[in-house]
Amino acid sequence: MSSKKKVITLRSSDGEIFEVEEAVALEWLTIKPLVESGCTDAIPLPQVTGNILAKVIEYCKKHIGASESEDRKILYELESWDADFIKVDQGTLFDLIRAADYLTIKTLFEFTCQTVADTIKHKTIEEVRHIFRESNDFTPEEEKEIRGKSWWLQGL
Amino acid sequence: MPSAAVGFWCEEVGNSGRRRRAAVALGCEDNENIVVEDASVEKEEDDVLSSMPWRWGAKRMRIVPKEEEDVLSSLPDSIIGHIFSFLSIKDIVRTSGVSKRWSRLWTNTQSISYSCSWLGPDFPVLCSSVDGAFSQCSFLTRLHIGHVYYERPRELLFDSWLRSAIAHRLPDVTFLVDNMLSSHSPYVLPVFLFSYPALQSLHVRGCFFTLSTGARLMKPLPVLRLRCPNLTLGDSIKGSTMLGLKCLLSFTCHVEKLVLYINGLGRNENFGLRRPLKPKAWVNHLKTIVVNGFLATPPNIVRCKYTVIGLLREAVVMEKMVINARGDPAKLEELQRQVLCFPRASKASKSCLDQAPEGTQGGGDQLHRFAGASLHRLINDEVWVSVDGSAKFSGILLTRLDLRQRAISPVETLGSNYRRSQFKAYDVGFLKGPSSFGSDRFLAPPG
Repeated sequence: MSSKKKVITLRSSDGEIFEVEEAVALEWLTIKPLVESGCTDAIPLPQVTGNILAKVIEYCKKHIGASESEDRKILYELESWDADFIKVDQGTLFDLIRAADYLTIKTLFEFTCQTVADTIKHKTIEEVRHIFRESNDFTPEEEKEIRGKSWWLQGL
Repeated sequence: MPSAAVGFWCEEVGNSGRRRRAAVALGCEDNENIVVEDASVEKEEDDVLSSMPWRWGAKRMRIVPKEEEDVLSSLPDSIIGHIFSFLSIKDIVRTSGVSKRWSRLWTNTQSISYSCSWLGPDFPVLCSSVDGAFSQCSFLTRLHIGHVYYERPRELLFDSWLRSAIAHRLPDVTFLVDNMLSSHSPYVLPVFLFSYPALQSLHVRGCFFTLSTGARLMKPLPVLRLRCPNLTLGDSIKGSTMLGLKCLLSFTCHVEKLVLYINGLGRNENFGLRRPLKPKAWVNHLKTIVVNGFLATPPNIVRCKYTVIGLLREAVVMEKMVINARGDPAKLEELQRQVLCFPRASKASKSCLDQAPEGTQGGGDQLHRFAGASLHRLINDEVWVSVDGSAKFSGILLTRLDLRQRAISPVETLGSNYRRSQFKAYDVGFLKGPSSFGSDRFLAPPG
């Protein structure tokens, strides 16, 4: 492996400059063609802010090569690292999803979506309302109708 | 936008290390929510304040007006659909009761997924939810019905689901059916499923195939996965797995990847033929074949050899063959050697015979995949359950489990597809020993 790795420069929406290795940037399908064409200028990413981009880069750096590893120990460590990584507030999490979608990073997109899904899983309606700060705007009659419609909604 | 912190919180650090927390907001309007940020608690452990029983702070609180845009519904529909596709239909339908804004969100889901119906009262609701989803969701790509229990009156219902799946042109269909007792007539997959052009992946278990007229694929079906397939020819003749499979594939000769989960209970259900295959076009497109749960007994090995050699000869584009087998290592090695001697094995095709070491096969929530083979560990790396013998592991039935005591660890870590409490009751049952499992036996669901 050559010691000198090619570095790609990225510019976030708020003007911050980030440098990532080419191998990392190639995982991002949205900018892959640009990277492959040997672009040397800073690639502007107008939909991603600096702090989110930093998190995305952190995730991709950690995961590059490691995801394919067969070693259980590495995978286990990666899993616990992921669990720490995703301990962010909801706004950041949704920003990460948007960034992963925009940059087409499949692993991060699946992981963040899974995380959101896990917060909904097996929760009662009240809990979901609380988690997503959603208020109950049904009238009592409407609510009665909805709950009557589905057995699963009863008593939740 | 969240406003700046106006307020304070205090925290009591008890001896047990548990924290009680109270937040008091100052000047907080009625229409505002207080959000106490939970980050960086560890960091403050070093704080000089942490030696005191009470800690006070203000910076970790922010006040969020209730009118703030709900972030989930601000995401694009396609992303919401993707998030919902990780959820079971039960969770998805439930979100419709959250608020008016949410009541339409769930229709973005891309997947109808349901598993673990414990004969429970859930079933009527599952039906209405599945029907509701089919009528209201327009981005569906996947139907995943796992562990539904089949009885004769449900035949039309199952047919209607598959018909709806076809009407929605779903490419990915999984249909895992549990039959209560082997004497019951199993679910027979409708013929129209095989003439359905958009199907990309079919994954079935516990269903019979009927190969009467018309059962042919018009378009390629790249992936066909069969769990413990019971194949029938016509409606009544029960053939061996391979024989039935051969007939099935002779109709559906576009299959590229074939994954078999073999029960291994009866000698007819093993991966083998009595004679080498005759040249036929039935495996023309087969690129990958994976056989799980192969029990390597001497007669099976002989048949397997014929099958493998036949496949190597017939399947001209085959790239990979994996046989996950268990049994006597010496016998497996012998089989491997014989297979690798075959001219093509060393060139175009990769033939690898995996002998699963005790307790290393499977993983995750895939316990049921190895119905009849060894039951193995799941979820937690350290805990393995290894049962030697044959167990038909479907939702509620455990048959002919011949248990020789091996290292059996706590069982509550088993399969995530089953509710824990159910599993405990289940496993406690079979851990008691082989005596209670001498014959087919129905285990009542735990109360």
